[in-house]
Amino acid sequence: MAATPSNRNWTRSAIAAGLSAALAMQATGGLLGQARAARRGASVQTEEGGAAVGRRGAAVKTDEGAAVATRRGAAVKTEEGVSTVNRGYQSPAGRGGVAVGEDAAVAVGPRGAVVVGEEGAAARGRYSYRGGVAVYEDNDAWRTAAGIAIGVAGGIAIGTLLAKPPAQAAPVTVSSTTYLYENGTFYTKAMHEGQVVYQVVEPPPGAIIPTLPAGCTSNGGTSQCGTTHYKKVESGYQVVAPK
Amino acid sequence: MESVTPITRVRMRVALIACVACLVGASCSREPTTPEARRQRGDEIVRRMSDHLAHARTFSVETTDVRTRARGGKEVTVRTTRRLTLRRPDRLAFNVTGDINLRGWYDGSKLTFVADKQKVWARVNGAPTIDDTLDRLADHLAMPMPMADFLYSSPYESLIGTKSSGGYVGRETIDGVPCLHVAYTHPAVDWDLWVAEQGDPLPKKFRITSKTSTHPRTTEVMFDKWTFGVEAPDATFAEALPEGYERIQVVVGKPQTAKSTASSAAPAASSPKE
Repeated sequence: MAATPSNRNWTRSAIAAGLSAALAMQATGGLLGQARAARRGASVQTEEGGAAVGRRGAAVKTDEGAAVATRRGAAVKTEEGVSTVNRGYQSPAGRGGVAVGEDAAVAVGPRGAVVVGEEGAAARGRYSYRGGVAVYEDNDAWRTAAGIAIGVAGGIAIGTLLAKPPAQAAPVTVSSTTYLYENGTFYTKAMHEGQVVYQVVEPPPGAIIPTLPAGCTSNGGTSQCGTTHYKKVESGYQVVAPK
Repeated sequence: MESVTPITRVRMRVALIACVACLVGASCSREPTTPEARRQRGDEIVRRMSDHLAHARTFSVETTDVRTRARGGKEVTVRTTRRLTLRRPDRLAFNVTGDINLRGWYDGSKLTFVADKQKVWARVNGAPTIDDTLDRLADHLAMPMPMADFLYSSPYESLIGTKSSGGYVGRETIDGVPCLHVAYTHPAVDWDLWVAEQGDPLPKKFRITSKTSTHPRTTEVMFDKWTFGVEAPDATFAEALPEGYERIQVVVGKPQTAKSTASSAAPAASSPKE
């Protein structure tokens, strides 16, 4: 049975939502030092694959395929396709499969496998199984991790967390929110694992910077730096939404 | 055949009674030796400790914890001291100092965090009870609370599950306090607990190793200054926010890859607005 486009979209949505929830859960379970938290959602990764177990189901991923199971359904994905067994409905498809039961949903797709239940989620994505959000000590530490040589221009990923902002970062206030800005990158304070960190965010519209970062192209009164557009104003360059 | 005199018979009875008394006494003080006996003794120790904490409506405790965490591909050691006040079923206040400086409170509805050093605060939804709020902290908010297992309405059930194995290890002295040492293992986590042998059965030391990440991580917690029946009015759990502090968001976990924004502009972490 071929999957309908809506089922495929549902599969992708379920995978994306489940991965987010599950990875958040796994990030804490491994770090908190809490027996209850660890027992409620366990995940293991080896060189040959990973497995995650939540209260309502389990997911396993190896190089040869992925499988997820709950009380109400199961799905298996291999190179030969996807098959599902459940009490709801099924939609095996070349790109993925999904099983929806009364208590939980399971899905497998190109980006991984996930089971989502009322009380938890378990997943294996193609991202890191350790899940969560990596925190880098500073900008240079991130560059090292990203494989970018120090001194070479390279945009830092939106969402990256730094324990310390760049030393040259200067405050920029937009609508009573204070950001830090340095060389084309905006940072905002956030709380992660009980600590204040600096998160890279999209350039906030309205922010004014004194000079443009390197590598921009200008056209009349506007400039484009990567995906960010600036308008020349009296005190510098203002971030604007792209037309 | 030589007959036994009455005196000899009395002596034999006395000797027999003495032997039985010795055997009974020896068996009572003997440490459990079989896995089953160790498990039973361990469960009893944890259950006693759990019941004592569960029956306390209010208490405060101070803990010091040491743990390792990943920071940009490096392992760093984090040391913190936590002063915590609890009022069952739905109030919690804490003050963390050391490598992390944070104070916060749960007022039965919201969780509020204040970082005085950076002059920022954050507020997120809690849950109706301490149990559910601790689950939320662990599952969604990535907030380390190494002593959390002992704050639930049943620490026993937080610590020991159906797949747990282990039990009583022996007697040890921790910081001059005679303690009973129990140790349990689980597919996801190993832990050791030292409970005071005399007086109230209170946790003295807790060491837990999480096995769910690529590298096992160990957290060690020392408990001190247990105080039961403390005054805990509502104001303890609903402090006023300092003026001039900036509100920030709490980052929850999402997958992230270290690559340039030139190829990916998708947010790698979210800031829930709650």
